[in-house]
Amino acid sequence: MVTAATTIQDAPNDSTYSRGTIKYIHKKSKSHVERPIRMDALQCLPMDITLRILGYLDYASLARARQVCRGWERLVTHPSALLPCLFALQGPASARSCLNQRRDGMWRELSRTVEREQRLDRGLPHSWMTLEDERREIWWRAQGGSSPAPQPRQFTTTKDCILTGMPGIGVEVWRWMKDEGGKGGRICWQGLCPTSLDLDRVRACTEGSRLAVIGDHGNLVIWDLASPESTYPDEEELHESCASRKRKRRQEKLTKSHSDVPRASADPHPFRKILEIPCDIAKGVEYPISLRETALLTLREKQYLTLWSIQDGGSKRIWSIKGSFDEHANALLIPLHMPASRSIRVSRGGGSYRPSLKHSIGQVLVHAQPNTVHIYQGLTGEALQVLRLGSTPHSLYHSHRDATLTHRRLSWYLGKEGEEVRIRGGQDNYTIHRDSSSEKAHWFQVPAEMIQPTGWAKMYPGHGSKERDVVFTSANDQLPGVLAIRRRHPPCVYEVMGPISHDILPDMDAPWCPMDLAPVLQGDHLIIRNIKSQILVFSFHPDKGLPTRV
Amino acid sequence: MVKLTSSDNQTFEVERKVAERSILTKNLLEDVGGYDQAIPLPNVTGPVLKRVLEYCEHHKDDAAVDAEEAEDDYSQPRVNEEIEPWDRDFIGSKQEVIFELILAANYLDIRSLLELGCKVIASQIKGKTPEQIRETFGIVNDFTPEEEERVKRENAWGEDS
Repeated sequence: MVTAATTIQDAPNDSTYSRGTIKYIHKKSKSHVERPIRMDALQCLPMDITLRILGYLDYASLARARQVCRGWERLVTHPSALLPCLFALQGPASARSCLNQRRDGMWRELSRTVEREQRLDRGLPHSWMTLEDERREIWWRAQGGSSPAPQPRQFTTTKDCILTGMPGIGVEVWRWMKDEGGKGGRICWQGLCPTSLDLDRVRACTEGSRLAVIGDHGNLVIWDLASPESTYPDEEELHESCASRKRKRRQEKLTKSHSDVPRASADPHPFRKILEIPCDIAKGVEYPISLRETALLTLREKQYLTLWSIQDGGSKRIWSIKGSFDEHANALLIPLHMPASRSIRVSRGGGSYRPSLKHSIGQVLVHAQPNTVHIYQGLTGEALQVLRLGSTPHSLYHSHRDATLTHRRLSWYLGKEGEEVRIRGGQDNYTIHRDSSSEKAHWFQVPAEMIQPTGWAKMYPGHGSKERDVVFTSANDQLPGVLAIRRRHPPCVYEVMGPISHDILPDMDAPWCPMDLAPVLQGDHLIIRNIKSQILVFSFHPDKGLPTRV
Repeated sequence: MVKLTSSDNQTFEVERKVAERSILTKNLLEDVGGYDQAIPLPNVTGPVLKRVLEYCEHHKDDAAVDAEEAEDDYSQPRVNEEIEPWDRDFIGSKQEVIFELILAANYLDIRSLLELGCKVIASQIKGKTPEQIRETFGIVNDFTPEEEERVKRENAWGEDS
């Protein structure tokens, strides 16, 4: 219970008053001549409070705050103001080790760290996740003593490993290890997949627990990250390992001339090498950009997109497309299930070894400027379609089977067993469905009425004819369920008939309903089993609007 | 009930639980085992103390903060948790008010209120250009053109994100 009449707002608005170290002069007039004259409150606060406020700023805000005035420049470069930011970027051990540096040294350390991060960001393919959102859930505990703790860069698709790229060194693999009792855990360094190339970027891609990366002499190497047993290197061992790598790298740089082919790193690594694809580095570095169970996609010199078959311990170049791809061309192999007749066999040399490319490659999607996604036939490299998107997607992401990952303005959705793929960029949405009745799968443009603000609505496809069938979308608070006709003949479109009432919604709890419950479009009749398990028959013709109950 | 007196001799009577949100008053009460007299708080004015007590009243059932726990460690990353809607409404966006509350929270040792104030001020800096920050905080640019050029150049890395 608080008993007093006055409030803080009762302080006079046009008078001068002071409290502690802070003083304000308020004036009622707001003209530019008589604008409120205030002392710089941040500088007037006790130092520990000011530092606490600055501690909430990210590096970009700190860099801007430093440019405000001389006083703020002094404040912002105070080691205690920078420490939380360094802590977040480098990890506690490294950040604390900077404490004994001078003021300028600390600021330089921060700028170096950020520049290194930005360099890595630029160098990493866009399909690498930056874990800003997930960092809250993962405490990165640096175990390397004074060595900077690299930021987590990407999860493997199985989500059990975190990969970090170190240009000129390789890809480091870290694993989340649960403590005894399973309550907590820590991230442990698992090993290194080395590269000998002194590239300014590390590119790698994963599928399951496999990792494709540029290895010795520019060859493509596929590693099995699941191979080592869980190990807890102690801090001394880890520190020595980091220091050893650094020494080796320095030594290599000292002894290497520009014309030398970089030598393989002798660092021990615990992972099993599944496959090594020899590449001619004189032609350029083949950067791995997408890995699937039986195939690997690479990009060379921004021009050559190559698909490799990787099966049964062997590799074979399937096709190579020459085009003008952006440096960050972001490609994905979409594992659509295709009819078995589409699978091909390729011969390798004159021997009897005949690796078979199975049906796991459906289409290859490449994002290229401006705002386009090119689609190629995975098996032949044939150009199929170009999708125009309303905005430039920064990244292409694919989901892990049923889940949807949305990043910035583009999202992917992969249905179970590759039944459906969805792509979204800006206001434009496309979807592709497995279509056993057609040799070619077509991308359908999805109208905005079928997209919920938060993402994709559940879509319930029904049975129909070769020309058309029906699709329902689920309802939610923002959007009613709609009934749409999916016209199969090019141009492939969804034609929205209109919103539907709740009792017409088909009984489909799962996104992918059992086929015997799916709505059937037969002639001019639409048959639905609704959520009350009633069989409803509607008279329905796409040209005559919404269905009417019979 | 505990009585608290502000610097301008306004007296407020609050539940002990409310007063103990402040580590300062909590320690005082524990040391003397209770106060019949009003506790003087010479560094806080009446209007500010009223706002602070309003905050304490709302948060009186929150988990108690240990004095040792309240010790700050600058090497820890700041957790940018979402601000509760009530707290956001309470603190508002007027800088003068926020700074007054921050100073009072610092004096009375109410960590959660201090954090709240600091977060809100930090949010007023975040994402702004140097010119916008000057405008927000009423700061005069005292860099010479040469200095401004230097500091801009030195901080260009912050823009490349």
